[in-house]
Amino acid sequence: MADSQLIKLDSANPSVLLKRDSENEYILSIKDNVIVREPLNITFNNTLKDLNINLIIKIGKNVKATIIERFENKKDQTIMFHSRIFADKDSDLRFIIFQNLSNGSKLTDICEIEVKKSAKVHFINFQLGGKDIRSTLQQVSLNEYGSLNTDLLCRTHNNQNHHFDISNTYKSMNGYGRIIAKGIALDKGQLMINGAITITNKGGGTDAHLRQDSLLLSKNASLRTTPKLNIATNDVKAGHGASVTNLNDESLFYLATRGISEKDVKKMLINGFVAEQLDKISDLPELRNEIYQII
Amino acid sequence: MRGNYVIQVIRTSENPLYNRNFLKADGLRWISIDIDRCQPKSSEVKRNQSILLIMNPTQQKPSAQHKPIFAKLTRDVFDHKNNADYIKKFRKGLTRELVEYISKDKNEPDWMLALRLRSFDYFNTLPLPEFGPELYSLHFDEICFFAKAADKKGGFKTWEDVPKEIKYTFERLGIPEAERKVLAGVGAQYESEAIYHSIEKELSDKGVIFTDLDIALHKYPELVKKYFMKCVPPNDHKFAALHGAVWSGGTFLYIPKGVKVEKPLQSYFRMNAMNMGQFEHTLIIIEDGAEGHYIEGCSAPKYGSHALHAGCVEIFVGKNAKFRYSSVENWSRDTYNLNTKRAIIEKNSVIEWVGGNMGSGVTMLYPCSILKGDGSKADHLGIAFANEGQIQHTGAKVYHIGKNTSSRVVMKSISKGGGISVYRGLLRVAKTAENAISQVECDALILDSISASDTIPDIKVDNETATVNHEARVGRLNEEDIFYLTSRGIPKEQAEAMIVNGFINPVVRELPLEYAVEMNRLIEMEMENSVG
Repeated sequence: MADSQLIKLDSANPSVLLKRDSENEYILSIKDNVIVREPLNITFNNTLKDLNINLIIKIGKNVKATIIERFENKKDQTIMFHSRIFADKDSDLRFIIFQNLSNGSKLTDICEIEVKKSAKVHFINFQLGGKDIRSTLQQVSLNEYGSLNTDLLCRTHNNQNHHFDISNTYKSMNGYGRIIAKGIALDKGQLMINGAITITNKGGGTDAHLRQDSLLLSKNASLRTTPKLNIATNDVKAGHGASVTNLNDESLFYLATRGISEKDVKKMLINGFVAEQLDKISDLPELRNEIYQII
Repeated sequence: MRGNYVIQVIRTSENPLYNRNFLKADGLRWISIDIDRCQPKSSEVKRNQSILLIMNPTQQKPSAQHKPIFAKLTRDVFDHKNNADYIKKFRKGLTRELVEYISKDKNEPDWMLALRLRSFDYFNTLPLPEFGPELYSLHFDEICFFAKAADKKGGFKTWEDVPKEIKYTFERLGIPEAERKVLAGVGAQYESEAIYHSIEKELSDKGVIFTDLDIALHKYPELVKKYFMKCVPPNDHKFAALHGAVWSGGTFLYIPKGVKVEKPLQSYFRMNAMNMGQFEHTLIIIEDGAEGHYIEGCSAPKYGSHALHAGCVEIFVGKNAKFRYSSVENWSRDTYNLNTKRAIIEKNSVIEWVGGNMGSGVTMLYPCSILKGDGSKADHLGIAFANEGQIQHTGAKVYHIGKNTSSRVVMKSISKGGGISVYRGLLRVAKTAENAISQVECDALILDSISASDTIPDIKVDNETATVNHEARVGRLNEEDIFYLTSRGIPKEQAEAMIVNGFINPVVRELPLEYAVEMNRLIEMEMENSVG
């Protein structure tokens, strides 16, 4: 990738356009009524030390697409990435972030998503690398029947410091959404997950749930989780749950007594813990296997 | 199941699915129980049948043996005003001179005056909290921080000696009757000072001390000095500082080693005058192996002008001890209730917080347990009802420090008529807290489309052997449940109140029977739109 080019889109589909609007602002648009069968891969310039990108994604009416953003590098970088996604009526977008940056990299990632009537956005976020990660995701359902789903899988180890803010806001009726965040803290990793569901007084009929589960696997790791609910009307189904545990002692014992080594037992249990998120990309076996390998 | 139940039979069921099954729907509980195990028995109940019940104590017909003390509470009782002119002798506003006057009036030792003045300085420098409801509308110069209605140090020895108007207030609240029937001792505070204190002789012979803290400061100075504001230091936050500067009255409870107090002790705090401030301090010391139960109640009449309550409760639970602190807060809607409650729990001990917050316009109340000793436990059970014009910010804070500690938090909140209820929780598991276990459940009922509920827990874990679970649910009354009851001839408002009583049952059933009735009566009054 040339130094002047900050991001690259891997797609030959004529209905998908990536345009550079200014020095560090790009617009990706998909025309109305298009079903994009192959995932759209977006990669970033991993040679520049400092990277500052604004990306606007416009998803047209009745569009169905999967977009994968990959943050990978071999040399340390400081990346500021701000994306805004506008999902038009009846669209269905699966937006996947795969982040496996080098141990010294820093990433500040802000993603704002607006969803119109009956549109669905499924945001799947795999955060596995980088020293200092600050990721903010704000999804807003503007009209009726908006569906906002988020899956986050993050792992911190070594001296990594990962901080995630995830919020779903329902401003109109009959919204739906599930936020499922899973974190693994190892070695001296510091992990913080803030989740929030907000249903305004116009959000009657909304069904939203937030779940944050974390594994704390080392005595020097630290974990903080704040799942919030802000509910301003009564005709809702809303809830949240959070748990912080280690690997289950009984499960460890059960598998060990079947002759499985401690290392393999832990691997199996962690794989079981992350399976829920990875099943959501079962149609992308290469990416799925890559993530399994990293974890 | 533990606890006493006052019950009303709704229907019997031939269906084995209902009998002996524990069903859960939308966070509410339907219970099935053999009637033979219920006390007191109602003559309407058929014997030897398993039946489906909803707890609704106010529906029970009182029998000759049992007349609930607090069943007849009405809004008039709480809004009763004593128009005596004692308040004219006391000024509004907080000054250094007032702090010195309070200390001089009580003839306090130098260390207490120094603590008050230090607290006053902290109050002037610490900011208002950055979270929670807006407090800028609270004008400190409009509050009367100290007023005496009777000027009797330590209170009167008998109810007959208490001035007529004050005695009448407490009689209507049911306090003397409760003292006769169910309590081991009673303290009553009116404005800034205690007006009555009593304890059963059997307990005082065992070394139990239950008295007004102003008196305890003189009678047991070393004990008070050792513990006073050590759990909640004056620089903890702005309202702890305010409390440290102007505290007056309150309770001193000391239970010596190995003594088990079977019946509860109660203190009741009553504000009367307009723009009054009450700053009672409750200091509780439970020595090793001791057990006790203490209940606090409070109320104030409504004037439409701000009042302030910034009390403080400090509890020290020794080793292998057990203590329950229950409270029913029912301040008027113009009161700011900014209370601080905290306990330090030593090895193998247990603390139980059981609370109901029904009153006040703005509440910020987060009882805190510090699980310092290995094997210590804390249970926090609470109800908050936010009606029109109310903001209830309640919750629980737990710090796991020792090994093998456990905590459980069960919070139920109800919002109605535009009220806002907020659960704010804090859980910290320190590096030293091996094998800590914590379970938090928050359920919120929003009864109409104009009310709101927030849940804001903050969980930080620094030990990999901890197991922490938190869950919360928000919803409305189940339409099917309401239809079921109304189709049996029960008016809709009553059906809703019954379901709400069932919703709060897990907390209410932990109270002694009489106080469970009081809690249910207060909830019923809120559901009746009896706006205070």
